[in-house]
Amino acid sequence: MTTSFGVTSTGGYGILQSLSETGTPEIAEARAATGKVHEMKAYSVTKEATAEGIFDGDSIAEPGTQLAVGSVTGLITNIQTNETNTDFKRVSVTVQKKDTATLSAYS
Amino acid sequence: MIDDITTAVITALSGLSGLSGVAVVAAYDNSKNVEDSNGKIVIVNASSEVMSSLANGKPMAWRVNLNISSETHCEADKNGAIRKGMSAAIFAWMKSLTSLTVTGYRLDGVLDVAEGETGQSGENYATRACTGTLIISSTT
Repeated sequence: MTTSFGVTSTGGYGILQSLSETGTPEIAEARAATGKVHEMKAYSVTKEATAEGIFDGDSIAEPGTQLAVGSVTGLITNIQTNETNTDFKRVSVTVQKKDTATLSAYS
Repeated sequence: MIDDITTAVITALSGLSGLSGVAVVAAYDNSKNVEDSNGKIVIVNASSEVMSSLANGKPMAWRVNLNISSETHCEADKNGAIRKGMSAAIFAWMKSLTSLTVTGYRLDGVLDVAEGETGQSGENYATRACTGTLIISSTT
């Protein structure tokens, strides 16, 4: 049995507190005359990774920039910083890559 | 760590003009009490809890809860003026605290500074606590 404790992946910004990855396929369905699904075809997969960290002075990229988070190297689709008067400043970033798309950063 | 923080707090409080001539001791220090301190003493009590951790789960920042009691003799301080002065000095210090010298640690913030009610301590003494929470980070 192999277990993993803590955030062992890298990427994102700051002192990592959490990192999650998801994969979502887009699936076409063909239904029979009865309405039951007869065939499913996955034709595209989106991989997304989100990391949250305690800000440690890193230079933070702009949305649309290419970034590696965990095993996903994609474009930043969301980046957010949070400051409150009871906690450290935190930064959260989400990257996304679809299939084998060529990545072109926003310019 | 908590004893180092306590020591730093005692050092800082001992230098306050509002606590001139007042013994400032740690709660665990039984070498001096209010009876042999001219009827007035400040007692520093501290505890810590983890606030934030590194990616591997090891702690990197703590909430250090301070409870600093000002205690005076009821006869020598009948109207409580001495105790009120001590408590006010501690409150003002904690409210304006921006740095604390503790090797390997850094003061990142101060939360929840407040003053408690006056209460009796034994038969002859009255006490009032000033409480606050320090945000302490490891620098190593």
